[in-house]
Amino acid sequence: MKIKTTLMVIVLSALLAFSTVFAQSYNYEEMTQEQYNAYLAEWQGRLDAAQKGIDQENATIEQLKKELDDVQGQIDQTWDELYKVASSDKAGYDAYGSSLNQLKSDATAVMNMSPEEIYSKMNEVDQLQAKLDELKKNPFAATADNAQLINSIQSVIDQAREKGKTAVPPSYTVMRGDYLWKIAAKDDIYGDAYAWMRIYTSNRDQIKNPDLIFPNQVFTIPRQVGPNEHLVVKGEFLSKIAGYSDVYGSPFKWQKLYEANKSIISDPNVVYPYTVLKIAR
Amino acid sequence: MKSLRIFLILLFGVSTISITSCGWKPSDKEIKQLEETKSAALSAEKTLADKKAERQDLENKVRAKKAELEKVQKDKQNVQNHVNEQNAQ
Repeated sequence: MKIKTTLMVIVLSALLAFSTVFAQSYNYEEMTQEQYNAYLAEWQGRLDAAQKGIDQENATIEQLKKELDDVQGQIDQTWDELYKVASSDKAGYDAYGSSLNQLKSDATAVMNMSPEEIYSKMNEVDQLQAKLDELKKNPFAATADNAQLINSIQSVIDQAREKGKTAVPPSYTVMRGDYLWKIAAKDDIYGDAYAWMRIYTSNRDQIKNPDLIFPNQVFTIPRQVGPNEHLVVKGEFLSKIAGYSDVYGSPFKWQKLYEANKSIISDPNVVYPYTVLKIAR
Repeated sequence: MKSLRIFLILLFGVSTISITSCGWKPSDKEIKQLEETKSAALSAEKTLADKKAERQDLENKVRAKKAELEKVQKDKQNVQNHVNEQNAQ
């Protein structure tokens, strides 16, 4: 017990001595007057130098703030002049930027579709291109940021178009002895003889009479419904098809559909499954 | 006489020892002055470092704004050229 108390006293004394020594910057007990004067002069010199430096920095800072305000003023003035040249204002500029961003978003959405989807919506790609061409006419298109954005949108549209091309339908070259029914029934074509109508209606430019095809004619064999097209399925009729929202959205417009496909529809009351109808816009 | 000489020698010796052992010591006022000067110098040096950082930050901002001004001036020229081309068509 006695030893413990003694140890504690020794430790506390050591701590007290340690703190006393380090509480002051200098050991004033052993300091000579020359040393004191030297220290005081050194700190006074550092203080003077720092204050001089602060004064100089303050002056430079004030000058820089003034310069910053001046340059900002020139920027604002140049923007005003730019708006004037474009016969618009900041709101117009912002609206133009929003239009570009929206177009980029739409183009990216199309780009993210499968090649088959893009192929079937190729008219949407054309619409995006038309919108971009229109936006390119705006004077704000010439600013560096917008020009960069326009280039990136053009790139996305081009990529979407290329992606859609990979889904372009394959072709079939007619051989001696072929007829549409036989071609459609082939396993690598449709595997269904009744689908001859699809070959016929997809190749109207080459087939005038479905009973008369010639060797070496090259027919497209569509796997997907192309843009502005409708593939008739069992149970459909013209007014029903015309009523679809992606066709005309109104059954009463069946005549428009009929007019566009008159060459392959002999009776408007009868349309056959596998017929590919063109949707005139 | 002899005892007086011994006394004087002893007195001289004691005086010498006293003088050497009791040297100059800074007063409380002097200690306070040195400590305050040191503290003020360190504080001023810290302020100076902050001011230098503030100045550098402003220099960077001015540089960026000058670049922005140059860009806007080019944009204005490009817009002007675009308008001229549109009008020419």
